[in-house]
Amino acid sequence: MLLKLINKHKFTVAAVGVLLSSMSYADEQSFVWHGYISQGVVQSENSNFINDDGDLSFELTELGINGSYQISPSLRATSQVTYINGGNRLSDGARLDYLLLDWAAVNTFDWQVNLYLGRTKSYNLLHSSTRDVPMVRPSIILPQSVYFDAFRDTGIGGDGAVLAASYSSSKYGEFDFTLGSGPTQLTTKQTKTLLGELAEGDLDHRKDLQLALYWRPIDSNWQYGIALLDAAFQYKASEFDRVYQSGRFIIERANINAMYQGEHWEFVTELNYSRLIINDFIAPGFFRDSVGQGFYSQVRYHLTDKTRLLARYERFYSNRDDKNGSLASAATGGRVPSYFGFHNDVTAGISYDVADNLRLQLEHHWVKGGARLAPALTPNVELNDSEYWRVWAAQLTYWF
Amino acid sequence: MTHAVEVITHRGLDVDALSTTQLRRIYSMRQSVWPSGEAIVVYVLPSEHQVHKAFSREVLKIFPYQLDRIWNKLVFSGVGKKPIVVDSPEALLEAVKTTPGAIGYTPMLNSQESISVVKINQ
Repeated sequence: MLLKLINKHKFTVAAVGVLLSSMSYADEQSFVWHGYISQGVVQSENSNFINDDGDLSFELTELGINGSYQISPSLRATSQVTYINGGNRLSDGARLDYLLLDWAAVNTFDWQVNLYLGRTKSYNLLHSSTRDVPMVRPSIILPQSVYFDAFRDTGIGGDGAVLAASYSSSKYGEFDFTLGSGPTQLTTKQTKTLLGELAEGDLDHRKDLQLALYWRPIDSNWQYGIALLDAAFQYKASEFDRVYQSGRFIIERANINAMYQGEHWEFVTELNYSRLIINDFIAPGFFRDSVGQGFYSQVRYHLTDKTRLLARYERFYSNRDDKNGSLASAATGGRVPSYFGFHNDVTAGISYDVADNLRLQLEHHWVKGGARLAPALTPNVELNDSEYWRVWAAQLTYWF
Repeated sequence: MTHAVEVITHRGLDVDALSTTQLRRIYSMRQSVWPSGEAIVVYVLPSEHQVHKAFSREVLKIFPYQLDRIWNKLVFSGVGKKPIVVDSPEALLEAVKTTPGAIGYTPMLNSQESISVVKINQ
């Protein structure tokens, strides 16, 4: 898989190599670069979460390389290029992940205010900025109740600006605030992952406003956060569209989270409310306004410095007023089974640091429901004819 | 309060004391310039090094894995840099002595003429 990838993108790989070698003469403190390379094996039984046939798959490749140049004490330029392949669950390919200017407008012991301009990440949720970075996230597959892979391309970041302020008080602790706007440029492939193969038109991310506040009380192992999103998308049907009309989508999301980090135990929980308004698209005059609701709770135990165990429980409902999906199923005349209205997942995993900067992760998911299978808006009922399905994955990651 | 690990800075800096909170801001790479405007150059030992573990737990009052996660998150999301990692306490001492704006830590403090020891206020 990796050799195939390198061969396919050999010119990009060569260009990056030339760039890095030319920069190797730069001041050690001014220019730094890092990266990661990861390959895994994954299998999903009784669903098309990874592939259509349920066979063992190597579609679990993740690469990233970044560089950062300190122009002056208050100005920095940085960029990262990534490649990801995750089977059906997300749109594969290379991506300019971020390319930004970081201006440290205020930089005192109590206050830091930074402005990031260019292509930025989404810094809204606990894992939104590093969801593609295997050694930073807690599991190979993130909890889909909050980090739905089919929505990844709309929530990973975009072209715009982010204002980040951080305040430290010796009495109240640390506060982090971010306000950002960066609509994503969606490709045809990404549009189809989101809306389905029959969507032939263009999806335009018109509006993206994100706000988050995190608080770590003084001398506490806890962190608390709240994150809000207001986004709008316009679908423009093409002449080849036979099923869908032009239409508009509005997503409003509220997320609250809490995290505990102790010496041996870690606990994280996130609760998500997501309002989805669909105007037209399905048919002229179509209107749906629904609130999806989901949460996960996760525990990690540090067996040793190198070994960590993970257990997670999550639930998600596409419509909190139709938790068993029966109303949605009835609306399709029973064509879409009711279990597409929810997604429950129990996950167990282990990670082991084989060496410095080399990590092996293993995990298994027991899933009930089809609400988090791509494409999101038009479920594939033929390939997902079972309410219960499983996924297991193993992944080896090296980073520097 | 004395620690098994002392915080040291480059001789050219006018920094006599720092609080635990301020040190944590520096080592979580949020604070990137000294009050003088000079860039802070942060040195650390490898995460598995016993001196680093002692510094992290006793001085910063944060677990080493938390620092690793903060640094990886900064680097791979584009919003910051990692500290510079050196292999040994001797190399760290030398780096802080010779790098303007540098801060580090050492377990073997003798009467170093060309280094500043920072008092840590709780």
